[in-house]
Amino acid sequence: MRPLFSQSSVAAVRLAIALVTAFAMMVLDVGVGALNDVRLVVKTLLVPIEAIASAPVGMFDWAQEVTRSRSSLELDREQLQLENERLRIEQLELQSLQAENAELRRLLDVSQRQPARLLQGQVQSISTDPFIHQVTISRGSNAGVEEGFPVLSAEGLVGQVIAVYPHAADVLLISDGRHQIPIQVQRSRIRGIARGIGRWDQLEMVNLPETADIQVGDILETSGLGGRYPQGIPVARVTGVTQLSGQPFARVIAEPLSALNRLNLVMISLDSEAP
Amino acid sequence: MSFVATLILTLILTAVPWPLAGLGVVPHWGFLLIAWWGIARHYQFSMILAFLASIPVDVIYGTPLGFHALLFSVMTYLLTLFGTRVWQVNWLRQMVVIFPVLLVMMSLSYWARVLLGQDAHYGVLFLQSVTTAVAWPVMRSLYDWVYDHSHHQAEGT
Repeated sequence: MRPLFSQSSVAAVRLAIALVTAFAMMVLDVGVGALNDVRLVVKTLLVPIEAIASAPVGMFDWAQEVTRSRSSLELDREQLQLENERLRIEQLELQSLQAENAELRRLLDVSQRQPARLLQGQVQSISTDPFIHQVTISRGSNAGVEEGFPVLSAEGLVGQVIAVYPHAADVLLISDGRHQIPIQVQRSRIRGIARGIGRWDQLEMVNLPETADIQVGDILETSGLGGRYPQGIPVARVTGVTQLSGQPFARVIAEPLSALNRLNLVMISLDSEAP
Repeated sequence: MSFVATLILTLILTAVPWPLAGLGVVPHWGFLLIAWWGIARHYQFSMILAFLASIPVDVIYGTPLGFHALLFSVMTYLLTLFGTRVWQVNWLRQMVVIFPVLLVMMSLSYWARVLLGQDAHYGVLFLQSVTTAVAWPVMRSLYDWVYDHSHHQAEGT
């Protein structure tokens, strides 16, 4: 007997159902965030697979570590001692400035800034998609991490937490094309928005008037607007300012201060609201 | 059982931390999994399995859930049209057939990424289709081996 529906039409119907379901899933995940629990379960199941996948790299790092020469270790120790001395001097200066700042704020009757509470975490994995700049860190909801928390390195801002699991969290890096940060120029206090352009070493400042006081070498820091990031976290250094003829806006390119492609240890700021 | 074994192999390869500078030339292992099942074991494969395989791939890549379901479903459909005839030819001809399918997939991927607001570059996706097609002969043999191994073990138990 001849079948009512041909094989190819059955496949086409299945494809149509699959496409509609896939679109619905994307809308639910990106637009509403309704599939976070599914992601959490799958992410937990993938832990052993990710551990196996990163094992060769871990072994290579370990082998490199154990085969390092004594002279190389001594050189490292000397450099760390120098670094430690420098940091101790800087800390003394910082303490003095903090005291002075607190006194001035008290005289002006301005509320005191609370020091940021930081939590250390380690980068566990990096997205292997060439267009997604995202890492998974080793701290999650069990350690008090929540969605939206800023993530920093010793050099500056790294990104923000976009998904939280019990023992891990996904961090969207500032270089990702979907990421935008309200920033200000440290020197001239000019405000703007810096966005990722999908390159590890570049951010772009958008809609900045060509007459704006900005120059190569300027440091960009978070402005605190929007309440997502506290004010004053260093973000990037301006590497190029181009005035486009006939255009009202200048093209400003900056290099992130954190080495986003070599992240290892990061700090999660447990205060996402601007003080 | 065999599907799970090949899926685990694919997920391990997907999660390997390759150097970031060379991510654009790393083959898309997920497409190779779908290609192998769609061509070599089409009678045991379905769109539902492709759909299920897409979810962990999305989680590893950090893409929205449903992104790879879209791509894998279309690829499975395309392979149902002519995949059965491809298995009979040698690996070089298989590569030649798979490459245009991958180009269609990458074009669809580019379109979906632009819709999602990502800064995608078609040149990188094109390069990835080339390397994915080049990886086919090796992955084909690897999947054959994993399939035979897991299949015999399942039969033994």
